[in-house]
Amino acid sequence: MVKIIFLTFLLITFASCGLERWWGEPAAPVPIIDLSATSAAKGAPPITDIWEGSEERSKQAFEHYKKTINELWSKVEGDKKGVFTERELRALINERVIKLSNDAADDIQKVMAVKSLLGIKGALKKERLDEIFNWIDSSRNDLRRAYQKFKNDSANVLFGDIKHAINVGVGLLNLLNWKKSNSLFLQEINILLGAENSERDEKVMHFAEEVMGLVCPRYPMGKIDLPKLSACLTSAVSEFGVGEAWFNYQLKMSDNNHDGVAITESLVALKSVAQKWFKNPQLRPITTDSIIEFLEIMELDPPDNLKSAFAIVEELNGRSSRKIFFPEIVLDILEVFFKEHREIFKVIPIFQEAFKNGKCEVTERFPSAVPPIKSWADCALSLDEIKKLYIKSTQQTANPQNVLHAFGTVKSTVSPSYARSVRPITPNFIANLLMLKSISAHIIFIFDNDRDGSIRSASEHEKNEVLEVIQQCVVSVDTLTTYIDRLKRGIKPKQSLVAEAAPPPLDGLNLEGISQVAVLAGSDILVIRDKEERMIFEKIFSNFTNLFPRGAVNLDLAGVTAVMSLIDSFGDYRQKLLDSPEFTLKTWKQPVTEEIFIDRESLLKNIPAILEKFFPDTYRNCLSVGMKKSCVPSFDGVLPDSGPEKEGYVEASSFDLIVLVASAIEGIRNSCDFNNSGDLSWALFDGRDELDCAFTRISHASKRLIDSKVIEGAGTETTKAILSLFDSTFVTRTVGKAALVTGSLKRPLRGTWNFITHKEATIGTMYLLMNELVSSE
Amino acid sequence: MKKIFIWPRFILFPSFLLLHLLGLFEGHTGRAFGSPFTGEFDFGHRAYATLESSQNLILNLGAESKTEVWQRPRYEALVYSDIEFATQNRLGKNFDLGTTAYRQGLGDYLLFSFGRFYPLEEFSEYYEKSSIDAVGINWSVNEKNPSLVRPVGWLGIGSRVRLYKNLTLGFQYSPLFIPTLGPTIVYSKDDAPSSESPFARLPPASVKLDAETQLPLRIALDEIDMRKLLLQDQFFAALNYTYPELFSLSLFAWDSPSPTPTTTTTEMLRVSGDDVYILVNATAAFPRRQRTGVALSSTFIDMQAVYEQAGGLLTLSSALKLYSYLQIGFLHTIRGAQNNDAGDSGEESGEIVSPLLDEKMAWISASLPLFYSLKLSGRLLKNMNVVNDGASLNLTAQYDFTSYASIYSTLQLFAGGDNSYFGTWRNLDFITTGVSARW
Repeated sequence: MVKIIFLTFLLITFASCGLERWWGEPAAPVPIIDLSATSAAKGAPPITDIWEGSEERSKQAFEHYKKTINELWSKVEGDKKGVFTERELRALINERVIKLSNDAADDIQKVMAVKSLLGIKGALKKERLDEIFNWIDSSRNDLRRAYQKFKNDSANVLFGDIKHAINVGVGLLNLLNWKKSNSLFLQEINILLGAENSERDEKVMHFAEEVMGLVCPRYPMGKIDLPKLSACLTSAVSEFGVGEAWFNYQLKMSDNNHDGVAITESLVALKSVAQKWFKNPQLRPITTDSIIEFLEIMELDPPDNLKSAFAIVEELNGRSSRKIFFPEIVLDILEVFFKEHREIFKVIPIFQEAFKNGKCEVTERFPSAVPPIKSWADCALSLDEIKKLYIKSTQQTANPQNVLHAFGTVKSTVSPSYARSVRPITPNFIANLLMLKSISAHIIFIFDNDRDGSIRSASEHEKNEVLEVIQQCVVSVDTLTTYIDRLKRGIKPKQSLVAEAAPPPLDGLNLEGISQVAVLAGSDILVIRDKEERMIFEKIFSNFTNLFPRGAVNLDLAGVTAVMSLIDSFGDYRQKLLDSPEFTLKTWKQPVTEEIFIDRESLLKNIPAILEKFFPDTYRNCLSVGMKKSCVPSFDGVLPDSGPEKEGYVEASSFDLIVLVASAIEGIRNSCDFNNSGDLSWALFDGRDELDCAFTRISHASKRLIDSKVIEGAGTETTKAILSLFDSTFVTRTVGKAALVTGSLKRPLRGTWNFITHKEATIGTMYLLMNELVSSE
Repeated sequence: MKKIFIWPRFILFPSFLLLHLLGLFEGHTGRAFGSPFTGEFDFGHRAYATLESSQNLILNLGAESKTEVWQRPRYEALVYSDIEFATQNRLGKNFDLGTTAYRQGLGDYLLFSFGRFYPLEEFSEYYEKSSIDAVGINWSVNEKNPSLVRPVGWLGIGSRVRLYKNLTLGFQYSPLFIPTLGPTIVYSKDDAPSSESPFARLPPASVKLDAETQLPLRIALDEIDMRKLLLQDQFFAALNYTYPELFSLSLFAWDSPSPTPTTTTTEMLRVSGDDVYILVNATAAFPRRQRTGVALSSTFIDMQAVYEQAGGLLTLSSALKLYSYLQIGFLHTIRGAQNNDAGDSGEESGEIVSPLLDEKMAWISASLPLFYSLKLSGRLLKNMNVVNDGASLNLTAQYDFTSYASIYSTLQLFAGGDNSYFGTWRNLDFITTGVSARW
């Protein structure tokens, strides 16, 4: 009995640990090998290292992934070694061995899309992947270099970098080597990105296709043809390589080592290549709609009038229009560039030398000439300095004529007395000016039927084609250059107050009127000519003898350029006006259109300050005769009344009128001040003295302002009649000249006396007279 | 793919039939030196075949004989027949052959043995072969019946020489190697591993790659050259000192292929049509191992230590014979740093480490004749490991109603966690009731 108790006790004690479940337990689960905690990607370098990392990291990452993939081939096997059929791939995805997302069906589509995009038809073969790996391996450095250059150093991208990137791309295209319809391609891309097919994508595709058609001969419609694209790019890179120096200049103007001769030569060579390339009848035109659509899709906010701005090509290229661009348009654009660059490269050394010698001007834009200026491209020079350097360089150069042309353009279109705070003379400025000149030359070439180097129309009253063309060109050029400049700076028009305030300059104005005035004023007001030039000019147009109808359009190259330059400058003035803290302007933003309006009163109050800053000569002169009697009321008369939008407020663009008038008045003074005395005097024995010149111009200008309804008022017709009367003969004009000196037409005798006693007309007296005219009843 | 570890004990042979024929050894006591020119033919205690007539009805047939020749010719033979009903079909087909040896003494100093025997038993007066001691766990065993795991004897020749009084030196040699046997598992690259026996330890059925990806696992076992495997030499040497009526101390060493195979595996994710699975190609090898040990056997205690150099394994066991009816003991293998590291990294990398019997295993065994014809016996084995925490309890009641017939009933219980040695069978508890006859 003792034994039984002892044994039972021991058994129970010994078994007690697991006694609770001796009978009826569920079966132990079938063992599972759990690898879920062990991630295969543990410690793996990020795949982006291949193109983003240093050489060492890139190599490491590439080797890692290559090894991983190769290991996979040895670890995963289908029915046939080194091959996975589509069915097998589907099975792998369905079993979640290949997993890109939580949806197997979605993953199948993605994998099939990747396969298709990699140019793999049917089964996935190891040889094909090896081929792709080998390509990546051999191109890895190139890929890295191109990626890093464009990502981290885009400001210093040169043609060589683009060529390099294209070569890498061509390698990839050759590797992929497929052709497929646009819709299929889009579908595959959208599957990969998990996006829906959208109209937007189709438009982008359409644009890309049109660009391809414009550049690549016989590029197919409706499908992507990689072999053809690759051949086209290869050929383009090789052919257009001749323009490398010029491309580099375009890409990085600030480079201190540009060789003007090489750049010009490369542009000539480029023109010749382009001539051959873009005249290929196998190229297709591109519609401007698709360009605009593309810009909109890319959220680059193209201006509303971009399409009408494209109308400029109608003047440049015979076949192209605002609706469609034919390939030859590239040749015309190149021609414009060519004309510009032929001169700009003669100017560049002037700036380069000034930069080297620390002679760059201290301007408001570049407040300190030394530290912020890193390149000659930022160097601003005064006209005097340019002249000095220009003379020096003409002595050094074998062909001074080119330098002369460039300087001549600057000299004749840039006012010595104003605008420097807004538009300092920098290489960019000159380039812009030369671009305008180049376009002007093109326009003149088109309309200059008698080949005398200028264009003319019958009368300012006639609405003629020339005017419209110039007007259109001005608007187009300004729209395009402003837009391109914004894109370059990466500023979207609606991102800042300054940008908002600087729509294309003629927006919202009486565009027809103001551009007519500007155009009409161009030749005889804005252009500064020396005596000899003026003689030739006037001989041609016979303006002085009044044989030619008054105010007719007489535009030579300098005239068109000056007009364009002036209009081009409106945006800069307006931006400066709204941007400068010293002006105490009250502004209001229209909530829907976001257009800026300025309180009319505050604008008028700020006139002295504005003049002091933008037109210092005008400011001094008006001050001497009384600001409130001359400039302020004159501009008050010119400024439109407050509009319906907001009581007491005028559109910001109305400020352009003040700029226009101030520029015109100073322009008259500058163009007629033959002896550079700063004022206009009478010469007893010269029938064409300074006052004569000025009076003719001011009378024409005033009448034009009245005619174009820029100046409106009860007495404007009377004023016009009086001006016509004074301007009609040599004798009556003396009375007008006297009025210029006294600043009034009301007391002609006193004026004549003053005139005889050699009193001189100043900008101040001109404003006095203008005030009287615009406010006369 | 990560390395997949296959439980060594799962690996069996395609040609298992041959191994069936080799049979198993039954218990056998050590032999004293006999008279010169005395021979003995020993046909084991019991050789039997298990014939399965249905899932739960089992018929055992057995035979026992003992024949002495030369001096006193004598012949004894017994035939057993058991028929029993078990709630669990536990055995499957089996054939077991007990010790079958012919011993021939040459004078007082030399004894030769031929046949099938268990080496250490041939030398030690008090040693009784067991599957749960340090020697037994390093020996080939038959695991086909999980409630009755038995060491497998050698088929060969042996000799013993008395060096001095009770000090003997012995050698054994077997040209035939029999590895550890278990329930048959069928491996195929086209199907999951399967076995007819519920007690087979099936390998993992699937591999979980992540939370939602689980793939079936298939194992292709490289065919083993059975001729090469079986025809391997085994050597055993022992120096034994016996103090009569008290103890026997043996120092011994043996060289043989490892009874449980080591496996090298290569894994491959296979996809065929719509079918995706992990295919493991496994190659089993039985590398030669050298073991040395010491065994102290006495009437009240057995102690053993066996060291295997290649694996750095030291197995210790002890059995205390408290009373004639009660014994307790323990068994544990200390695994070297190399093995521990492998185990740790195995857990981290998703490997499954097979639970082993010799992990902090304690046991208690009792056999209690209550009165003349009724005997109760029982044995409890328990692993005391944290993970491997299973236990096995076997209780038997036997009533001999004549000297030739008895009725018996056995309760076999298993318990333990998912990853324990005995827990694998925890749902396979069973009761058998049978009638045994011998004549």
